[in-house]
Amino acid sequence: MAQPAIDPLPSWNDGPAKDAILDFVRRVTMDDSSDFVPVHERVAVFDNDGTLWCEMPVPVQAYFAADRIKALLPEHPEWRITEPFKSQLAGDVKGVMAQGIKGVAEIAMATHAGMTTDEFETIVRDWLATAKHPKTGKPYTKMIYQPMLELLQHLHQQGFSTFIVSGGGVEFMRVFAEDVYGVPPENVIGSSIKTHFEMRDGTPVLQRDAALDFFDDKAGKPVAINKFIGRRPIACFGNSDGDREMLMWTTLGRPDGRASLGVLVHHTDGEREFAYDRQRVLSGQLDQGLDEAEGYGWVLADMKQDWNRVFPG
Amino acid sequence: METKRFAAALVVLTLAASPAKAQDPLPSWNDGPNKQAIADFVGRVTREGSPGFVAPADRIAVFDNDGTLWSEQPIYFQFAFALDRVKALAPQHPEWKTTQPFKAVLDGDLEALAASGEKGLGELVMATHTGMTTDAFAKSVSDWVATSRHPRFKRPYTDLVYQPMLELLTHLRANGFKTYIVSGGTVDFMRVFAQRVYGIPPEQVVGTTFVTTFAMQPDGTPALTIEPKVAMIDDGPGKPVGINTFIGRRPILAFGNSDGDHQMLQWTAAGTGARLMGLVHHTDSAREWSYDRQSHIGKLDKALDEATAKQWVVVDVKRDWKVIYPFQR
Repeated sequence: MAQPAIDPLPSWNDGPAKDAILDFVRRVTMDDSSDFVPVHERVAVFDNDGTLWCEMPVPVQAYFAADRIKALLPEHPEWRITEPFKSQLAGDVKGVMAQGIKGVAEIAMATHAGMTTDEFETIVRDWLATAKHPKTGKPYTKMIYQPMLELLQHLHQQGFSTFIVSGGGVEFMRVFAEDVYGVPPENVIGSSIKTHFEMRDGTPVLQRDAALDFFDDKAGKPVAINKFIGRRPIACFGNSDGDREMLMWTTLGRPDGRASLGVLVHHTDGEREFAYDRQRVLSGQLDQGLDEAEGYGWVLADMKQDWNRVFPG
Repeated sequence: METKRFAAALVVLTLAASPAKAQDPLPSWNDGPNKQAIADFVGRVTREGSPGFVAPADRIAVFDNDGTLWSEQPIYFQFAFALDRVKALAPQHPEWKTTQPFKAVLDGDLEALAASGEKGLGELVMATHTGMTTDAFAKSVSDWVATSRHPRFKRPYTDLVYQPMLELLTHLRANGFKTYIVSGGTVDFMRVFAQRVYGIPPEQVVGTTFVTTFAMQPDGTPALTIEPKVAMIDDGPGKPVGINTFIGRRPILAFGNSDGDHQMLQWTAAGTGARLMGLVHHTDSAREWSYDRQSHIGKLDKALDEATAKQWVVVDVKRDWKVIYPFQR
């Protein structure tokens, strides 16, 4: 009698979501399966905020920006009396949001541009080493989902290439993605600001400029997938309406006829994490996607029901 | 005497047949300082315990394409594609018979084509590369690759890849390197053949890109449409930017052949640890083409000066390469 295989997803409860995922992986990896997909075409894409790590009460990168504003304040005393910085410093999220996308962009540029790529990496690394989530007091890099780590690892073991495709900043995520998720820098796709090359005292640098290069959200996600990967993923994992288009690109009307899998993490657990879906939030609203999931055959991973553990040990 | 000679012969035979003597991974390269420099570098970064050792994940090698992995004369091959596409699409565009620069292409009037300048060139590129879905464009490239012939060698353009560079790519991959193309050519053009011809998968092709938009079509299937607007020019100072955007690691090896690769070589050189910067210098007009400082295509001037001053590898095609193309072996 065959040995019972070790469960590759121990933090997932038995149920339709776990079954659908394991069944899909089996179908595309078994030689004799009619859905078999060659190794180099096994591309899986993952959103980050709310899919791999916690995005509540606001996304991690917003905390980074807030802390940077405080750190840079001595060089910018004018921020005390200028919006959106004034509201930001007062911890008044609504005041910042009242400035609209322009206000958010100003804060993003003031904290993410004006340094070299190497300097930015150091700033992010130092921040991640000390910053703590306001509710749990844990480092942000511990606010990652254990069931998703198991899924990443299972896919790796089954010959998949796993990519992050996130609205977050690509150079922000690359600082920790390899250590935390096992996803190397070249497999991290995200939003970017413009950079330019220059020689500084005989040494070349890439300087980060205060201008948006690409916003990797919603319809930008399939565009970025095409640009960076050049293959259509066969599996896509998201949690919000910002992931709908890449789910569509993965699962609908494929000319190659390949089997595909679309999964939405549904935040249903207000006790162990946060419960949110249809209401407007800074990041992570899931409304249209929730309506479309059944018709398009996307799997809903219900956090409360499907995960026996949320965060790692 | 006889015994001694026999014994000596036996030693020679044994040595020749000995499995310890590794097969030359670069058989199309003549022995010399350049081949030696490449072998030394690969040895140094892969030998554990060596001071130059580099972990496999950081073994990133980037290669320019035009003039570095395949030929680029008498015109860039992607431009040849654009000209052929104008001819193929002409029946659907009767107005091209009387509009420049299309008229010049259809009449084969090179002078008028040159007179249309960069603006004309841009129009030809946009008319042949944009305004269609990514799938439709990929099909137009694969059809062209299958049917077009290079004017001098009368062979498919994808036959005009450099055998010594194919061997180098293979050798690097066998030693744990990840090999990337970083080219001024467009990503969606190169991806059609890069895997088959170079063994480089789509996700390791970095290049110039157009703005692309996603939309659901009336039949409920999604499509990506290439818009007539450049997103990023991956040339000159754009190459380190492209490397940083796509790869997010600094390469330890970079190969180019023109001033358009200068900044990518500088960016690679400025990292810490062992690294190798290389230029292909086109010196062989009999077997390929000979051009450098004065050339309109693949101009190699400033990068050649820096390479010489800093003792980067400058491959002399005539002297260093035994064969140029795979079909000449």
